[in-house]
Amino acid sequence: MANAWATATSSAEGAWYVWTRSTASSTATTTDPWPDWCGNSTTSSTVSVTSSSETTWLYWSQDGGYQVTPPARAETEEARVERLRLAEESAARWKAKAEEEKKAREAAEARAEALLVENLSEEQRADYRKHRHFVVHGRRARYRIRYGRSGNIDVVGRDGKIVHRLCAHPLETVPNPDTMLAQKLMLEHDEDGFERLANRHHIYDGPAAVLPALH
Amino acid sequence: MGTMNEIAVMDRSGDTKTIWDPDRPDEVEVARETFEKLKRKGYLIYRVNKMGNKGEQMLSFDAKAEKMIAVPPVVGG
Repeated sequence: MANAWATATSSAEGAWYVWTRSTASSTATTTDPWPDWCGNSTTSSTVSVTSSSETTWLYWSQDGGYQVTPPARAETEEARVERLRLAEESAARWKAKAEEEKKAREAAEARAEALLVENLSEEQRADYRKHRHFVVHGRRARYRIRYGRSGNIDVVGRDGKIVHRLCAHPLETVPNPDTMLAQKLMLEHDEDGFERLANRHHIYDGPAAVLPALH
Repeated sequence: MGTMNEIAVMDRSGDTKTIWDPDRPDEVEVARETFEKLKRKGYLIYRVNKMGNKGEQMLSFDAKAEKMIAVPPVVGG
């Protein structure tokens, strides 16, 4: 349903008379403009016209007068059924895609974990299976590598407490076990280089000992 | 077919392996090209053995290395 407003102004002749006789605008100010509109009187009246008729809207828009948004047509039952069918199909496609991506992620995680475990010592393997972390013994410190990608390396001092944390990971997004294996390999082969490369996160009010103290 | 050697390249799928028979020159050449390409991209490649013993970082390709792991470039996080 279209709603449109029109104001006709005339100070000399009835509005309707003007509309039907010429293109001039007219205004009626009486409360009952109809007689004025139909007649040829000098009484002025102002009226606002609301039309819910498609015919009236068509006339107005064709005349170039008022720019009105075309009335929304009521949805037919057939269109509604089709719309719902398309929505269901789209939802099913998205769900299938999400499932597929989840399976791919799980497969990647399992594959990476197999590679990691294959390259751990027995002690590291036992720690990983129990706690999801393992320890790498460096020249200067012990590094507890926890499951994760960022900020997951605890640098542990002689007293067994965390001194600070390190954060470094492959630029490419790889499963977390891959990241942990990369960190292990780098620490073992270039401890100084890794410490220089990684971002350091300080520990304030550090936790109690996380590893046995070294005596 | 003799012993098969491999490079496991870390990636989104976990890892992708390139395998080769050290007695077959054509396969060795493919593995060598893979190795060189990874080095150019900044990968660090380590020779490893099982049981988690520390291996060595490989600066050049060795067809006899039984198992290598290629780590993508690492950045501070």
